[in-house]
Amino acid sequence: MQKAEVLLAGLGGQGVQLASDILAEACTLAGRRVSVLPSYGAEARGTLIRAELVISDEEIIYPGVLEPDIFVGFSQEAYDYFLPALTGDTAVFYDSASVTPSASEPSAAKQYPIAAMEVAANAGNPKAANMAMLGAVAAASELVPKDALEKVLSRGPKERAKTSVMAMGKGYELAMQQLGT
Amino acid sequence: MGRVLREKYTRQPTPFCPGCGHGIFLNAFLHAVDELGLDFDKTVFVSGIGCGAWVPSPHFQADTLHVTHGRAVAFATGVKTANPDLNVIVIGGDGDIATIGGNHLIHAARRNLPLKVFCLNNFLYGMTGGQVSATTPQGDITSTTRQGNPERPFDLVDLARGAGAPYVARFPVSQPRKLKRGIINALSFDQFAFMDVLSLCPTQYGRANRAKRGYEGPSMIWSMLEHQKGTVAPREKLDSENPEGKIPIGEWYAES
Amino acid sequence: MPRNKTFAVTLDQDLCKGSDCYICVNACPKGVLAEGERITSKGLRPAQVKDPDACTGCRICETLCPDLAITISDTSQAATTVPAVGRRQPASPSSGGWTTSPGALKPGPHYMMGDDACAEGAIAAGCAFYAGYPITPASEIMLRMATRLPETGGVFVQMEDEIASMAAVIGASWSGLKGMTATAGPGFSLMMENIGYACMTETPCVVVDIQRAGPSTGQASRPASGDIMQAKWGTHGGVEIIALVPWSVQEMYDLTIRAFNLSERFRVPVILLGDAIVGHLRESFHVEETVELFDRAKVPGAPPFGTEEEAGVPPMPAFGQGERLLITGSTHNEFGIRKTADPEVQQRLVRRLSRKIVAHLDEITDYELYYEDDAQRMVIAYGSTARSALWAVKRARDHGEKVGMLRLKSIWPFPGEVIRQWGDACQELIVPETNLGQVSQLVQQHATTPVSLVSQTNGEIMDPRRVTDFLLDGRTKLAS
Repeated sequence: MQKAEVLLAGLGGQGVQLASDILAEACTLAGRRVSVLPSYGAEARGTLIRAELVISDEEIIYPGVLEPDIFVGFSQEAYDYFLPALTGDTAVFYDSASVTPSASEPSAAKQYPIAAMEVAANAGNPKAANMAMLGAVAAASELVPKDALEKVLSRGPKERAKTSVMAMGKGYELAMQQLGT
Repeated sequence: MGRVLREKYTRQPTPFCPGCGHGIFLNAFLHAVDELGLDFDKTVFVSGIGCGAWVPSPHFQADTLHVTHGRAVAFATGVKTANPDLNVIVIGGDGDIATIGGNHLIHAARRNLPLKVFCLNNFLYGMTGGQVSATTPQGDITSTTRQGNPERPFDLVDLARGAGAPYVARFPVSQPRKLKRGIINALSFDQFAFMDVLSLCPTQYGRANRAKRGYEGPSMIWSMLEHQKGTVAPREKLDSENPEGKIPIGEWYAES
Repeated sequence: MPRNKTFAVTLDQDLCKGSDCYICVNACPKGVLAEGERITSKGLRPAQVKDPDACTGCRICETLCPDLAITISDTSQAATTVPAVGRRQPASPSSGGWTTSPGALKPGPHYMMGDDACAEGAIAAGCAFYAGYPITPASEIMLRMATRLPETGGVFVQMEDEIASMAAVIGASWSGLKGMTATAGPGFSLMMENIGYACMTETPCVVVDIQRAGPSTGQASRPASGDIMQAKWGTHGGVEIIALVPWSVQEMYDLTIRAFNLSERFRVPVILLGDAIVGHLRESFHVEETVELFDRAKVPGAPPFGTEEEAGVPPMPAFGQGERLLITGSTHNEFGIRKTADPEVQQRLVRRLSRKIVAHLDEITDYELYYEDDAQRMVIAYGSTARSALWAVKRARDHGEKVGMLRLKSIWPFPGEVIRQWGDACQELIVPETNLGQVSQLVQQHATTPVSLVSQTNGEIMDPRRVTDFLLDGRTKLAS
């Protein structure tokens, strides 16, 4: 059975929930089963939030993430909160502009910095950093097809869709370069 | 007319105390209904808990929804929005509509559905034993304010107008013809209408405030009615000055 | 001044309440009416017509009489006849029952949040009225209904609080529409009185409670299952209630439809007990080509609050059909007439309200079994916790443990007999719950075997490893 657990975390307002929905839709398009368990506080902005995704070829029983295959840290707070619990099997992506990796690295996780904010700014939409991160997730798991992501991202308004697809593609590239080595 | 109204619109005599002001309202209301030709088969009366709520339920020969204490206006909102063809009329007391249910009243006024709300204001809780309500005048005696009510009452006309009710009226049961005319106007109005009906409770209010108010004679309710007439004056007469502190009665239409 | 009219004055002494009133005696300017002489069997001394010839027809007595006891008629005109308005207009007859409907969503797979699927289930079930008040984690249901109801010809109202929301739904139900509201703990508490009113007046409606961690405000966006007991015992007086517990987005859709069907079938409020997990969870679910729907019977003329059968469900006409319904939360007979001091009517009513649910336990009860064939121990689970539990059962079986699972899809009326049978067939029953043991206590009442509770009250989804640990080690740590 093919199965992937993806944990996305950041601060409210960074687009974590939107990214998780796009990821889920892309997986659904590709014929996979997926569940998204969002988790946030009462405040709409600025608190630590997360989205737990389970992507599978079979029925998903427990919808939470227990041993993430992929962790994406959108903010320092999210990174610091979740990193200590990760194992060597987790691929960690973080935004190199907003996260300083911990010097001691208590966890054995493999870490990949993605210049998501920069990529987004270059693509013409600084808010598309979350899309660059989605590209990185696609690079890390064959359960998340890049073309399906492109399809979902292309649905929105034309200009937005263009920058999103561009940011996602660049994030994918940056991740592939690092994963390949 | 008494017999005609009874047979056309009521199921049974009321259990109200002798001389109850709510009975006088019931009488005026049915006079108004008959004059208007209101179709009782397309009319729903919603009422909560208390003597005032018993005016329509179980007495009126129409659909009646007798609900939880204070919530009649909220139930009525559901009835009316679900079937706008129905005439939806709320009748209840000051405890029910203006005290426990005050929040629903102001929101209904704001929402401005074409509901008709009649608050039979007898200045205290009659059914439960004469306790102070949100309309008990300051200083009046109730079973929970033996030394006189220390709190200020709501002016229900000001309350409803402040909440945006486009038709607000106040009439006393001691002037039943004016009351009937007002009821006709309220029922004919095409938006939310609220009426503060100055009623009287001889049993709880009358007895407790007999000495203070000087109710006398063998028929206390008659004395109360006479007294009530003396405390009110048409709002038009009071607009410039009101040296005797009379309670304005009449109708207030919102300037549209 | 010459009199050209004459008036007849009639005073119905059976209606007159006598000397404590005498408003008419005091009001008449001509002394037509006077204090009475006769004392009635009720001990009253009704007023009398003493000088009818003096009547000028001013009608002030007739207008003021609180008991409509006085009739003044102009005898120079034809006698007043009372038109026959006591007639009943026939209600549009409908025997109700099951029908097949095409549903509202496109058949096939859909991906959405549990709260949204709940709203879609309601629309598919024919819900045409929603009243609600914002609250996390149930607000998304209201948001979707606010869009979907206007699209489907229904009515949406945002009320001033949850008390009013519940009230409006009941009012709309009597206007003939299927209605729903949705809330979470604090709002559910506010709805309790009117839920009892719905039980007493046999008003079909659906109440969705997306449970969150309490007590009080607690953790607004975090899950728990602390309202199980409240769903049944929260309203005063003690009534039977129907409550369903979905574990997935699919069941947020399916069980909402079922909740409407059960509410129409038994004329009761039905409670859907979700939680912040199944409410906010997003996953795929499948929409069938058609939906089976039950509609209340609208039979004119029949008593709307009683049947010959002890466990019967009477027909329910709507307002405006000329039925002149008497609906009250007070104890009432089969016609809705208040009988607030009649022990027999009270007993018969309370009994029927209970029997119409309890006698149909088989029709209401719904559960699923997993790995039950060789099970020596059974996990009893419900709601989102059942997903963690089933994950744990699979792990335990991988380790050779002979453990099965019973998942409750309906929790009230509690399926005690099913629990008893599985208790008899197994050595242990294990109940994982995100509360301090509400269902485990019920299981204990019905089972003869030992019952263990795996409790977690930290505002998180039940940790499946906690259940696995228990199944493998036979022990658990208390929630920190």
